[in-house]
Amino acid sequence: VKNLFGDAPLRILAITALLVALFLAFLAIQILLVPFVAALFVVYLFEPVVIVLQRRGMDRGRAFLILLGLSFVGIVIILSLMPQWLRQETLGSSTTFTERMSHQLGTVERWVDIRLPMLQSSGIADQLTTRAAALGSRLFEQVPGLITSFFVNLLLVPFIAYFMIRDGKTLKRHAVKLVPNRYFEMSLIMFNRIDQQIGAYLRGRLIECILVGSTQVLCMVIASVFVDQRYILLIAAVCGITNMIPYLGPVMGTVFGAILYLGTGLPITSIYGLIAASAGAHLMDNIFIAPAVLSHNVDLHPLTVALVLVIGGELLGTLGLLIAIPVASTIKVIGQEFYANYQLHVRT
Amino acid sequence: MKADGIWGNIFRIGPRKDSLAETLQNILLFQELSPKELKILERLVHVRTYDVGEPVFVETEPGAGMYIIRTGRVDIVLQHRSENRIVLSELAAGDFFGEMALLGDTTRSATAIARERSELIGFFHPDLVEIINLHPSMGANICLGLSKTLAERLRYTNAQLRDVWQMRGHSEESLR
Repeated sequence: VKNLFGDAPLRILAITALLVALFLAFLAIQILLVPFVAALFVVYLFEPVVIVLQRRGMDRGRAFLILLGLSFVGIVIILSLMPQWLRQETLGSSTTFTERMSHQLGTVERWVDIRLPMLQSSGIADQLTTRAAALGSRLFEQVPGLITSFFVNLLLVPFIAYFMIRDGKTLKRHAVKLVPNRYFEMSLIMFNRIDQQIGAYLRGRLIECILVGSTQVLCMVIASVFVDQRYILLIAAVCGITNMIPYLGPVMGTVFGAILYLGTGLPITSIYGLIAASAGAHLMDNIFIAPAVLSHNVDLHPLTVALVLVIGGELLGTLGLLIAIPVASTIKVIGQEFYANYQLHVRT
Repeated sequence: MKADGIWGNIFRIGPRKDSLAETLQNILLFQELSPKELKILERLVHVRTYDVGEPVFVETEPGAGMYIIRTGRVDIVLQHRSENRIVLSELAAGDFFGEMALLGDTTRSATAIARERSELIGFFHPDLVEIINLHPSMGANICLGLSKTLAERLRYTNAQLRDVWQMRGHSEESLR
């Protein structure tokens, strides 16, 4: 083969085979990707406290189990102490949800017909009604599956996170051991830099999400004084989670809340209240929260952020949007190290 | 009891190699550490083997930490790729080098090349940071050892500088 094609095509063939194998492996592990990524988030969030407990003589695995137990008890206490009106209410059946949403969208359509007649000709309102109703109905059809996978992940995530905390460092050492001498120090520096950068980013983002979720609760409670606001906790939780996605996140959380309000037949003023509350929470995030907790940012250009979000979203959907930035910054660190090394060899 | 020929052959395992902890204990940086702390250190260091002529690290490349020679010999050289390479020192088992990189982001000031097949123990900046985070008193002891080593090197460099100046005919007064 070498004689027929020479060295370069053989290398290209090998690289192609490797890429195909990686793609197949990627498809195979895609099912495990959600719990794996979630576990990674948990590990990075718990790591500083695990280190504090480790300093007091506790081993990493036990420290994680204690923290997990404390978190569980904490969540149960918070939920049980929460006033009744803040807790999640029943959403009703899929049919009533869709019917209510169609009715609400019909109202919006009539409003659009009167105020913006030119839109009627392109049938935007019709399409919007059909699609939103289909989306609502699909969402409800998927609810049992989503609940099952949620509970499976709820068990799987702590399990994976436990082993990541306990054996992660040993695994990293074994991985470094396999690196040839020539690239040994470079890979050590690279691993360390990636760990620091991703750790700081994820921890910062997670703290930001918790604070944004709390601010959203606060803003919605204030809004509820003026207009009817429901599912405060659910919407705030979704807003907090979607806040992990730069730029798009706050909009996604608000859209989710608006769809929920449309489906449950709340008046349009409630949606205005929700939008005002989300805008308030977003403003607080930009002015106070983000500058305080994201001091170690990943330093990606806004255009790069937009591009990687599009690619991540296309490849893996919502999960892709969540992991796009950490993955992009990892690639950036690896690229920087290789480029610096290459430059050094060119110079010397 | 002295082993007879048969038993001697059965139990012969070649020249005795010190355990990792024993090798580490003999290094100035780790002399203040307790046996328990040496065990912790033993789990953190990396053992690597280098063939004859293989570079351990190269001048101007970013450095991550220090190496201790467990077996073999290592040359520290300047301009290793050119014909006018300068051998700064020849190190043997028990010696260590590259400790300045333990302090953080630095580039290597010289190249280290294995003169013969060598087994080296690597101790790196992230490991030192981990020790400082998890075992502060142990970290302080290592940092103290590191300071002593660097002070020793500085004193040696000063003495050499003094010799050079004196050879050039400068008086003691002008040195001050």
